[in-house]
Amino acid sequence: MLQSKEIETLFRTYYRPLCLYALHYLGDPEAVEDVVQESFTALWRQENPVANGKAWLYSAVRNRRTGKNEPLPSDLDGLISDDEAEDRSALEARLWTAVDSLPEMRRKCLLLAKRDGLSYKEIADELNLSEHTVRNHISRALETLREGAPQMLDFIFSFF
Amino acid sequence: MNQIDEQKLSFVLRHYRPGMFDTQKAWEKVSGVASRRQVRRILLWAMPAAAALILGVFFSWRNTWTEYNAYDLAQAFTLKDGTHVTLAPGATLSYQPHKAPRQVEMTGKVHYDVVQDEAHPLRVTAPAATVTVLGTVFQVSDSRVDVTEGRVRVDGSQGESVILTAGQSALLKDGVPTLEETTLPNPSAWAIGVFRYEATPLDDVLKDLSAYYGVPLQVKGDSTGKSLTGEFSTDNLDEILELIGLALDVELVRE
Repeated sequence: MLQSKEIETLFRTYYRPLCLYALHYLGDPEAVEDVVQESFTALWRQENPVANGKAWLYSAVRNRRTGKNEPLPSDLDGLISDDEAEDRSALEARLWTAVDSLPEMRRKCLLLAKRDGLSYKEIADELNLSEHTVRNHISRALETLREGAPQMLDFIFSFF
Repeated sequence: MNQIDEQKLSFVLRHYRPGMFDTQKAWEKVSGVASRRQVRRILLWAMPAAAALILGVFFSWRNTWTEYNAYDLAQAFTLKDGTHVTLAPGATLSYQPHKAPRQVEMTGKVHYDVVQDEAHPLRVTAPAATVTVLGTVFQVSDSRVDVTEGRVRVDGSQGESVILTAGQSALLKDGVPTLEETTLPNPSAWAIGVFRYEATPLDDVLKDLSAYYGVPLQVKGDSTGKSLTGEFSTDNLDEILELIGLALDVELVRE
């Protein structure tokens, strides 16, 4: 049985990556958090020794999708291997964290542009800013994310 | 950014909501569930004994203490009245939620963010002193009390008292509180994860960072007249040094 300290370390390292991993085939973020949290609780209750906690968790989350007999979800089906899907989720989790730590206005502008597809003009009207400021916020935000991403890659490789 | 990263970014942005996939919150939920399960198992096993105790428990309910511990990591908890506490490694705290005034007993170092309740002041009893507060942010350890917001009264175990306001600290030596004149700007950085500076002289900033990270820091060149305003996350010392270097046009080195 894993010690709670080990579980906590696994949790703090893989909670967000596992959420993004599951988000690719469960559209609903609440279902995603439930599935990932249940997997950790299951790991906690394992009586047998678990050699590789990370691998155990990823396969637990994989098997807890809608049901074992249903076809593989389209987003993962055949397109990329399980390993690639795991690496992708780690990078996406880093990006998520980077978006999370953007200054609020930059993040708002970025989301309105890239997620909601608004034009600079529409964002400027909605947030009471000048178009120039909106453009500035978005390019600064993208710069931060671009600078962040390669470092994240380094970090991930040195970490494993 | 290459094609793949662009794809990942647009996936992340499409689903991003502030506060979603919050590791800390989820951990509190999951670890809470796990410990409750254990308690339930113990209760089942102890059922016959428990039956005999029920009456006694009922009458002593109002005297119940809830206990919190931090082992090798700082741990944050929210008490029943909404007060946020952060326990430094090794600290313990117990809390009596059903009594007025609100009461906390502690050992080690604890940071408090107290919900204001005029009718029910919070009283913190530590080995060296008792601290009485309304709504404030402060921390207590065996050797000192630091106040970040509001006002508190510190009663030493030998009977002497001082009143502290925001930005002030008291040293507790042999149970006697004395006002400390020179105070590091961020005594609670370990608990809140942030250094805040407001026109703080560069030398004081370096002293603060040195004390926190336990590494000596030096300015290459002249630091006179330079001061810093800003907020830095405690995650990464090198990043902080680089940002300060850029802001003030100096070079900072670890000695």
